[in-house]
This record gives sequence, structure tokens and C-alpha cells, in this order.
Amino acid sequence: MDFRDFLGKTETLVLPYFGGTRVEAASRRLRVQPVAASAAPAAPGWYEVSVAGRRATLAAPASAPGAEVLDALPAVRGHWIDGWIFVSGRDAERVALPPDEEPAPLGRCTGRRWYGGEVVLGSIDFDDEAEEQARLALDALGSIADVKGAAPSLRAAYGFAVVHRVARGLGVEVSATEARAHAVTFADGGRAAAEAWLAHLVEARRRHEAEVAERLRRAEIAANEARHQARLAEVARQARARRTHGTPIERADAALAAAGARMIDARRKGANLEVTFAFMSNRFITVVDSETLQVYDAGICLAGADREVTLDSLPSVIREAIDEDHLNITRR
Amino acid sequence: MAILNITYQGQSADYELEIDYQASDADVRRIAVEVVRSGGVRGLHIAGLRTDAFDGFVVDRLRGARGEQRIYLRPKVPFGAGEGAARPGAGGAGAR
Repeated sequence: MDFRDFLGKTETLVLPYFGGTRVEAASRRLRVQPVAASAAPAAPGWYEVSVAGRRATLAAPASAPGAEVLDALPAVRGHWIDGWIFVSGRDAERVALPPDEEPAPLGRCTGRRWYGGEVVLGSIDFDDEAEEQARLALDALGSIADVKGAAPSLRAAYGFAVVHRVARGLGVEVSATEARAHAVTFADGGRAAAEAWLAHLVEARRRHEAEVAERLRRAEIAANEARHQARLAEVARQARARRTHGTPIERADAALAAAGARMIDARRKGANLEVTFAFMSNRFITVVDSETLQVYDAGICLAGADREVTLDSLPSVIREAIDEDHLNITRR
Repeated sequence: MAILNITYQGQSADYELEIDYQASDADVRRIAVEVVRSGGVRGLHIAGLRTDAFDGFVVDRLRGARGEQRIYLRPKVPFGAGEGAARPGAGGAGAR
């Protein structure tokens, strides 16, 4: 037989589909053929699967296989509650597919571990007196500390049942994995123990959400600041220096005019320039460097800091002195 | 667009900038640091200028004779009698 004939061979299997892109058969993992973009995705469940090579097509929904198939798989024994099988006083497995017939709450059952690791319900087993008593206690969300013969898995399942029901009443989502470490406490303490634990859980979630919101807010502020700094850097990069033209007197005139002052007179004094100008209804006489227009004598009292400024910025200094009532004109 | 006049160590230079006349004082100082650090344009050039070099400087906004909007960044200077106009050691590299 040519290998191409083997590759072209198609067979039909009943397999569980748990969602996603693959299904697991006994001997291999198969890739599920994608459905058309317009079609709704297949719901998890049992399917007749058409298999060609490593490609699988979900042909039609199917019933779960019988014991002849499932009993060959590893068993997961424990107590059923709300879609979970509690297998010990601490560990629980979620049943991956909703069974056609659901066990009674806290009932004994056996799950089967499928090839990919998911658990499906295998069989519903016979209960004892302890399960019956636990179901009665669950109506009042009371304690089962005194129930004789209750296996650890029953106590843990009962504890989760209690906290799950109290949480549902409070509108709080809680999973068996979150609650399992405290399940026996809830089994012994009933509603009060569950309510106390849930209060801590809710408060911790609230704090966490507040912290996340604050981190996001800070990150957004930082991002905005980074964008702003980048914008400023770009503005600086594109800055163009203005060239100054003309004689020293012409440049002094331009510098004063740009600041809203009016030059009245200017004359050379050696390497310097003595400039007389009007600004904010006052007259000033200033000595500056004729090249750089650095101020040597501002004509107002600047406590010896005259050379820090230039004729360009001197009007701004004078305006500040006037606004703060510190103007003291020494030359006019 | 606005004209920014920077005065630093007794030297001044004008720059044309694509910013709003009402840009915040902090933004003006930040831009000024980058402009002065940059060697790509004429005017003041101090490559190693500290980021906080202009922290104590005054940002002022004046209108020219023809209404031209200009931003001035200059040192804060004291008012009153002092050591005299010819204080040694002031001044910096020429810009004009």
C-alpha cells in the first residue's frame, strides 16, 4: 500500500472537543479544520470527528461514549459539586464538558482523564449516609463537622458548595481553585466562615484593582510626559537662530524695539556703546558692549549683576523692577 | 510660532521656535536647554549645559513695537546697590 493511500484515508471517531484548534485522539493530536469566518465557532462537546491524516473535521454532535471507552482512561474519583470533582481534602478537578446527566450535589462520581489531560464525567457512583447528611446540611449552609464518615473529598466539596452559594448571593465570582485551601474551614464553619473569607477576598480584589488602576494611570501620565518631552525636543531640534545684522547702533535699536522699548540716542564710547532709551514711561541710559550688547552699566541698581544681562533682556528686567517697586534709576 | 530670546552669562541670542506664545515656563526652559546644547544653530552653544541650568531663570513675554510676540528667558537679577557694575568674572562666549 502506497503511503499516499494511507494519508488519504478518512476515518470517523467520537472525540471530545474542548474548544481551540485541536482535539486529542488516543494515538495522536489532531488539528481541527477551521470553520468559515462567517460560521459560529463549535461549542465544546462530544463530536463525530472525521479524521484524515492529522486533520480533523467536527462532523456532527455525538453522545458521550460508553464505559467500554471511558473505563480504559485513568479514573478521577471524588465528590461532585458545581462542575467540579473534589478528589481529596484539597484537590479538585474541573469537569471539562457538561455531562448529559449531572450528579446530585455532593454525590460520589468518577471522572476520566482524557488523553490531553482534561477530565470528563465517567460515571455516577452510589452515595453513603454521609453524602445524604451533607446535602441536608447544605440547605442551611451549616456545618458538617459532626457528620460521621465524611471523606476528606466530601468535606472539601461541601466547603466549596457553601462558599460558592454564599458568594453567588453576594454577586462574587469564586472558583474551586481559589477556595480549595479553605474548603474544610467552610465545611466546619458554614456560612459565617465563608462570609468572613469572602470579605477578605473582595477587599483584596478591590485593593488589587485600585493598584492596577493607579499603575495604569501613572503609566499613562508617564507616556504623555514622554510624548510631550519628545515634542519639546523636536521643537528644539528645529529651532533656527536669528542672525543679527547692521551696525552696533542698529542692532541696539532692534534689540530695544523687539522688547517694546524705544531707542532715543546712542553713541560710541570706545569699545562700548552708551544707549539712551525710553521704556514704560521712563528714560534710561545704559552702557553695553558694542559687539555683544552685554550690559556693563544698566543705569538702574542691579546689585552688581549688570553683566548677567544684555540690552535684549534689560527691558524685561526693568519691567520686573517696576512691577515689584524696586526700580532705582541711576542714569537718565 | 514664537521668538525665544535666551540670555545666558551676559550673551543673548534669538531663536524661532514652533511653539505657542503661551507655552508653559517649564516647557520654555526645557526647550532652551536643548537649543543651547545643540551645536546645529548659530547663537549660544554650550554642549554640556546642565538640565537645570535655567531653573532659576525668569520667563517673560513682551510684545515688540509692531506687536511681535517674544518670549524672554533671562537670569533673575537682584535689585538694589551692589558691588558695582564692573563685577569681574561675569560674561561668557560671544554669540553675536
